[in-house]
Amino acid sequence: MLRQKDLLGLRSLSREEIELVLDTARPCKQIFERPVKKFPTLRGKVVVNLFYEASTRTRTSFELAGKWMSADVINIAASSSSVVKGESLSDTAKTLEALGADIVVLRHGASGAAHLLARTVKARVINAGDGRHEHPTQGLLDLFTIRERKGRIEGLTVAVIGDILHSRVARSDIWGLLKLGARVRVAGPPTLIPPGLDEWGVEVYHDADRAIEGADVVNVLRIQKERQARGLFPSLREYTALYGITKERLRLLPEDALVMHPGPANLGVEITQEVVDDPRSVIHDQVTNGVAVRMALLYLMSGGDARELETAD
Amino acid sequence: MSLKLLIKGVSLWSPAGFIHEQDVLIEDGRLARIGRGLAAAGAPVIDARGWIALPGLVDLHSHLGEPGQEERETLASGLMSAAWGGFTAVLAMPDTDPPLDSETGVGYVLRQGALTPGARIFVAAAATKGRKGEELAELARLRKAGASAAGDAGPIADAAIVRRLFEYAKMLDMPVLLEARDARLSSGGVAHEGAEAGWLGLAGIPSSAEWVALARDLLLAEEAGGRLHVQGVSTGRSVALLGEAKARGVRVSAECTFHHLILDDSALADYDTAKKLLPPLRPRRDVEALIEGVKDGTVDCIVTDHTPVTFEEKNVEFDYAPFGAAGFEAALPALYTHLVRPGLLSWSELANAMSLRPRALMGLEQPQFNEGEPCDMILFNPEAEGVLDPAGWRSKARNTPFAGARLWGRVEGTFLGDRVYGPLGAEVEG
Repeated sequence: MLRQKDLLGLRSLSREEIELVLDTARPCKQIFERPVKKFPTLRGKVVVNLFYEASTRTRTSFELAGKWMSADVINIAASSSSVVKGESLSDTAKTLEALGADIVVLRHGASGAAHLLARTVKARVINAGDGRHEHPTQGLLDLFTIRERKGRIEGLTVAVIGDILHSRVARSDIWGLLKLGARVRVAGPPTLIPPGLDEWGVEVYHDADRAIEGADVVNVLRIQKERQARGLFPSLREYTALYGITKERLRLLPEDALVMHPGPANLGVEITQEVVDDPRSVIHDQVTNGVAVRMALLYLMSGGDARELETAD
Repeated sequence: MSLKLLIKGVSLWSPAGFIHEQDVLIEDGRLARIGRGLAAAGAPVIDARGWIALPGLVDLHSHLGEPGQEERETLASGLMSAAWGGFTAVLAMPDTDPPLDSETGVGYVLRQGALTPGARIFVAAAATKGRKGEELAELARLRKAGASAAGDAGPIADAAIVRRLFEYAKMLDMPVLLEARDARLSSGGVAHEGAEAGWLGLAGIPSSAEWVALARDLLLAEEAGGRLHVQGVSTGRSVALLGEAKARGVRVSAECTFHHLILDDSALADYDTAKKLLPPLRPRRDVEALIEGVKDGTVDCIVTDHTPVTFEEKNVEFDYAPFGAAGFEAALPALYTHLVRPGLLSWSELANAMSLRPRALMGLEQPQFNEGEPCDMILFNPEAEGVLDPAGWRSKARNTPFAGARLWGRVEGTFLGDRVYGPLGAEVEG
């Protein structure tokens, strides 16, 4: 069982809880093989996807996960809702609750927004990315992908490359990896590395080659062009020269290493098309696994028992 | 109203220590008699055994909302809240709407405040027109209108303006209040730049934002010979910079808020916007250095930086919430619970930082517990214990990081002239 009402981040989950989600996602993934993609388990439950930021990948993934579990799924894009009329997040949440939402999936541009929502409503809240804080379902699907391919997480060396400072994916990945016993390296320019990572045992590099050399997994983060305007790095081409993951850099990796990217990628900037197409790339697996992990979460958060799913027909 | 009241068995604080088990007869707004075994026929008797009497506290950093932000606070609610918190005088900041950069504005707040029950009010005028940091406000006229100090209740980015401000204010012997914060370095930040904000994904305000501005202001004050009062220091390095400047003979005083003496940035983990303060809550090592600074007087004063904000304004995402916490009615129980009771700060150090030194900086009288002196005193009951519920405050605001906290101590009564505020006031004045 998950101890908390909400999933706000991986920092507050125990190793056992993370493993429970990963274990539950495994039978969920089998749904992709089925002719009829439907579990009846969330019948009568209402899942609301409340997205204050544009997102295709995460929203679609949650929508599919909910539908395949037979929940009623409602999508609300904040730009088309009462938010533009000045309604606050807590007001909006109360309204959704009055409409019977059981689970609210929130994507929001401000760190901590999911905490605010979770305090406001009785419905269970899943953080689908809050500002630069956490993106726990991305972290879980990354863990699932690594474990599926490598058979374990404990003892692996995982390098996360790019804009760590602004990345909610990086934070969730780091917490999940540390809790499951991986060694975590990060690499990026000093202006894009938050302070205090080393206090938690994360190894900080500014040289991408040294960070990825011999790593079991390389996770490449998206670089956002607007950071350049704020003076955090001089130019995209300089960034690419220092931290772009290219075919040449892949030579530093073992043959059985994995290359990941949370998407959407700036091809030719932080990663090249060649790398995306390399046999070591598991970027498309990540998308598929995202649905499975989110199904597992919706299931567990609706009070489901992992063993039932294993035997469900 | 003429009030007669006998307080029995109180411990009177004095710079030399407590004088225990004293009876104090209050009559006509004065400490009519002090001693043991006093009796007064017909006067209500207050059993104050176990309580302590301190001189009324003085807050050098208060935002009172009026004019223009009356939904947050009014002079009536703010001055009453201050009195209930144990403050007999407050220095109101000029960041009202419109800002207090005119004789009319300063005069309005001073006159209206004087007519309003509660703490006495003093006013800091804006240092620059419209608080824009571009042109000096008419400081001589503002001084004449009764302003006690000049400051913008916010940083002044232009060093040349700050330098002229010191030069000009020196002519008027007017203290200059400056927030030590570099606007560029702190731009966009909502929390101390450190490991905690890093993990929480909150944009950082680096410590250097304070150091750079403080170092600049100290050097400019030294060169111009002006009187600088630094508002809201929050880092250990700032204490060191202040100590060095004082040793060089710079005419500088400084304050920190009681929040920064108690809470550190680890408190932000729940994204409670009541803890979104400016300067931000810093790591524990800074808190410890600030406490040391208060103890040795390098940090002269503890202030509330009372910043009332409405529920609606604070009940939003952390990034979007305004900075600040309301503090009058939380300050003394919070300081007592977290610093005095555990032995980290003595009552004398607290009295120096919250009454004696702020009074000296403002040029106010120092109340004495002598027969015949006018009342400017508070009674504090250290054994009262309770959960802080700001819903019961006199302030209109509820934004405090201590909401729901178990705190020791209660201000039972604030005696100012012939008025008594606080629970005792309600009792004896009916």
